[in-house]
Amino acid sequence: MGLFKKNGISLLKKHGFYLLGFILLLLTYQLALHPPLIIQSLASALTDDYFHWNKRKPSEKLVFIDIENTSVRAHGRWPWSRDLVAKGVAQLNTAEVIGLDILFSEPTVATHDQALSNAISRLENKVIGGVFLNGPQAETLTKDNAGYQHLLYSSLNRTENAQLIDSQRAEIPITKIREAFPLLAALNTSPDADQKIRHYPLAFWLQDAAIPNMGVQMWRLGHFVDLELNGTQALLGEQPLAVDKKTRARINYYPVGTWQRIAFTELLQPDWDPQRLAGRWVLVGVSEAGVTDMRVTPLGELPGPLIHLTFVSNLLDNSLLTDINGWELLAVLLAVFIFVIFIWQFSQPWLRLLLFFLLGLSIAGIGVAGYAFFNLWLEIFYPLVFLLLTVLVGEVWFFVMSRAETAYLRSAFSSYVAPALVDKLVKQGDELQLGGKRQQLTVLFSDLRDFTPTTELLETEELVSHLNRYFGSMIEEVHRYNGTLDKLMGDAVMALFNAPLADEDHAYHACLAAAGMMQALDAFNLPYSVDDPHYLRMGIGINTGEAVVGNIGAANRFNFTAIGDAVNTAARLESMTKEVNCNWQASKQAGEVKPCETVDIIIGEKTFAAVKDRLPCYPVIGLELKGKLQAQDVWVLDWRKMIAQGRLP
Amino acid sequence: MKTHQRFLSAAFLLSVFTYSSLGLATTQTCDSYASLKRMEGQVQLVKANSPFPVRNPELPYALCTGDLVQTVSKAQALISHVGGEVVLAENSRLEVLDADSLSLAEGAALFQIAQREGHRFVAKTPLIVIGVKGTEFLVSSQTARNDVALFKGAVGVERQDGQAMAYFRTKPVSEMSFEEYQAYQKKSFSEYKNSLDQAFNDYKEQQMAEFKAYVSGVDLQTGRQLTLNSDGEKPEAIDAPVNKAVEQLQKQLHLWLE
Repeated sequence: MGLFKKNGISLLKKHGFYLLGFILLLLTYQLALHPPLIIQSLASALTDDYFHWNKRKPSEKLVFIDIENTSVRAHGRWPWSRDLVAKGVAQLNTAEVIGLDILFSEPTVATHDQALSNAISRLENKVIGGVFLNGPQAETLTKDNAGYQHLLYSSLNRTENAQLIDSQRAEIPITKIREAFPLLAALNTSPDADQKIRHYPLAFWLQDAAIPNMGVQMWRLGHFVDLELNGTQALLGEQPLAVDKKTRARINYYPVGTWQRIAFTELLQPDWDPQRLAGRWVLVGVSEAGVTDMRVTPLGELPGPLIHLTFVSNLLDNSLLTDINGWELLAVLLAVFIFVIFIWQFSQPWLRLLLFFLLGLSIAGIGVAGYAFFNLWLEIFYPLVFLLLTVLVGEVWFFVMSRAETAYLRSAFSSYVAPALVDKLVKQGDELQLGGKRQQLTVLFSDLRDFTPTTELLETEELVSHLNRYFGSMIEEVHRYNGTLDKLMGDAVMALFNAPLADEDHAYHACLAAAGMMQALDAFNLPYSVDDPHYLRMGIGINTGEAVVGNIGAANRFNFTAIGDAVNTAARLESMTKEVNCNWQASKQAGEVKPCETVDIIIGEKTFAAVKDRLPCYPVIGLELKGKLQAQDVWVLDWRKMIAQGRLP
Repeated sequence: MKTHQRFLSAAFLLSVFTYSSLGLATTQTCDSYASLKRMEGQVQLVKANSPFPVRNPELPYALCTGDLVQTVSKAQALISHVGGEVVLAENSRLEVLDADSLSLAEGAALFQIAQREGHRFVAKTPLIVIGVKGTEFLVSSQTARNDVALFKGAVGVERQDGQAMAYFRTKPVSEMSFEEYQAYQKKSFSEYKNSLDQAFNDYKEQQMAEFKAYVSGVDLQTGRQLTLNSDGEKPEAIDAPVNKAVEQLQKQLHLWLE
């Protein structure tokens, strides 16, 4: 059975339990592979705080030309007249790459449109115009549409089976302005389930064209390398990018307020120094609150242009994030499982819970460290959920199993041990060693003398009830002195002291129990005369020594018992009592002075050694024990004197 | 980090030098093996060192190693190569490799290769290598399958990874029972519409293809078409008469070769 091993988990059926843990692991993994929206949102909420650990600053190379509050106050509400925009755009010519995160999709005053078109044209080949895919005013572009051909020209050339977000329609700049742009790019973002932006789509399908997003187009133009897409693999020049199934990269946000921002209105000031933009990559966009280009991110609301710039800056400082998913996540879950199994080996619930808590903290710590030092993104939600599930299921299992174990202990011992002791046994369950052990103990044997005639004289039913009453009072005495009833054999009683529950003074307590039994027998016999067949006589043998104790028997039928010489000797001492008593009475009749009336209890040498200073014992010299060749010294215990001394409560 | 920066600055310098190719690159400094001679519809020409297509290329436009020619739907292009001529069908992409080889990355193309002393021309797709000795053949490279149809001369077809393939051959009509022949006729008629996109296994069943042997390469005969299943599956190839739709496509592309 192995029910009483030291370690917590080994109390349980280990394999089934581990299997259950493994099933939970696979379930968690499945959940991570196909998370429902609500789970995605929960998982992201746990890891959004990672960004507070990012102490990097965006690349110095990048500048956000911002149409913000002061610009709007200076020049009126957005949208502005396009000749005003043209004046600002004209100031950008020292920059290396220029992106316009503004959609010029509706015609305005023709001369203003022309002015902007001219300004863009003067920026030569380093400016990128924006289109908005699937926007509210998007139109379906036919293949021979010049705008579509312009987009095709701007699109990625080295794609094979690319898995991109699909769109059929696009909102593009009016022809006059579009034609001024050498290149176009998408201005789209792709929010997660909770509408927050954490991923940056590298490109989108627009019919047959793979339209790069603004950040990718800025890189293509700035570094003159192409983005190669093959299935869900992305290669930007020589640099592989970690992307998801929709070819989206996970962006790594910088602390808010660290961006180089220049208010658009500064471009229009007479003291504007064009050298401020020399060699820079700039993106012009709107952050003014009245215009709906604010995007929700884990850091709060951010102007759309900064999302494109964040991606570019991530490329520049090599800090795009790599998701830990697939096999890597499975490995993380397995590692957690190994730790959980390790923690299950501890039996104290508080220690387990403390260790589980520390494990949870470590998972969170590893998540943050992976982010801060290795640009790895671990959704700690999944390992934590797995931990929580295993802890819950594990503790419930522990509880149920310990209840079952308590019930088992109670049922197994309550008939042998005093009920008060059973409680103690249950509490001390862990320290009990019932598997088999060699130890010192005291064995008490009692038997009825001349009982066979009684059985013949009484009716069967009366005999049984008479015996049961007798055993009842005897067992009560055994239990009173912390003895364990080992077994009843016919009319004999065998009791153990110091096993299974430790008792330092086991010899003394056995003696007290024996005296108590004699006293109880006296009371039991009170209604009957000496000649009545109901009148019982009893002898008791007590011996202390080494024996093997444990659960002995077959799997379904076993008993806690003791075996060994000490046990056999106790039985023989008991069987001597009648003979010794006869000799004792004969000697008395011959006129010899004997210290006590009768011989009812005989104790062995070691028992005597333990109690000689406290209890009245008289030696019986040269007694030969049945079945034992060597003579052994034994002592008579004077139970009447013990009662007189007030030894029994 | 340092090498990264060095790479970036090198890339930057390179970009400054190659800047002119954006929109107005016409001058060639590389060894040219091929040229774009004719185009119809939207054809994009992307130089090896550029992410962007050449704007309004002047024909004939010299092509070098790594240069791409791609067509969108309803577009077609004629590329003249030292080894012969290639007509690129719609939605296709061709990469110029060297004096003896071209690679069809995607789509379909008709090759007319002249026999040259001491030269063996090679056409490739991501899946297969086609060795050529003076010939006219059509190659199609789709996600689900690759096809090579031979109209003249001889070609040998092998897989890029060198794996042996299970070689199946259509049952000759002479060996078909009347019922089989009827079924075959019916199926070949329906196949006419969707040929090159048809799933490989459907096609295999339709052709009543019988397993012949495991081979590492197939020498294709004139008037036959070899169809290979896509990468990642157990390699198989079916040798069948040239498909009607392929024949149609060949006729259309062939017009540009005369």
